Amino acid sequence: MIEYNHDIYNAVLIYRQASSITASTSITLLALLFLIRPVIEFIEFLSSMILKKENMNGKYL
Amino acid sequence: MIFLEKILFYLETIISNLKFIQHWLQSRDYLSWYSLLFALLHLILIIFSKIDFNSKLLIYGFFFGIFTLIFLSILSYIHFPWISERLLWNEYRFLISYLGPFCLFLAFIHNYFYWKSQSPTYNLKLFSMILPLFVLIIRFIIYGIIHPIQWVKNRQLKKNTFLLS
Repeated sequence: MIEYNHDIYNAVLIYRQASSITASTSITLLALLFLIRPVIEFIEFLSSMILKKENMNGKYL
Repeated sequence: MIFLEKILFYLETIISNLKFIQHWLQSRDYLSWYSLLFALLHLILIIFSKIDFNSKLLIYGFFFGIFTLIFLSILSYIHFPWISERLLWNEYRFLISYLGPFCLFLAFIHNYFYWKSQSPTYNLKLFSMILPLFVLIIRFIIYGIIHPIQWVKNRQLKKNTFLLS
């Protein structure tokens, strides 16, 4: 009887761990989906700022 | 400083020229579909694990999770090509750039409730909170602070040129 309960507890624990792993995968994929675009825009913004500074000083790349 | 400028210039040329980044940008749809798939798996596994809704925090987390799932399903529905080609550009842009981060924010709150309610020994919840927080902050900095400043500057520039002409 005790072993039977132990098995149920183990199964519940495994299901819970699997569910948390799938949840963390899901949220990480969703975060990656929204990460790539801002990173590219940020690099473009920085380079445009530096190009503007260069133009103000009379230098051209 | 000059070294940094050169690195940024090369990065920009790499981004605009390399094909695999363009392909990656075009194949971002898969990320949303896989995200929905894993979220559904998470729901099924949590039903199997017979969780008990005793504490209040867990109930709040459950409601946030349901709302996240609804928004995520809408988001992945938009990413289907036969849906996205029928939407107007304004609608598509609104749904992707406002509903998507809102969905991520809801998911972050859902994660936060479960992280707060349970013992901090199991650190996967904390680990999966770091990247969404970073993404939300960087998106807020770019679209909440830098873009409006640039928009105002461009507007003033246009006004000045109009007055000069």
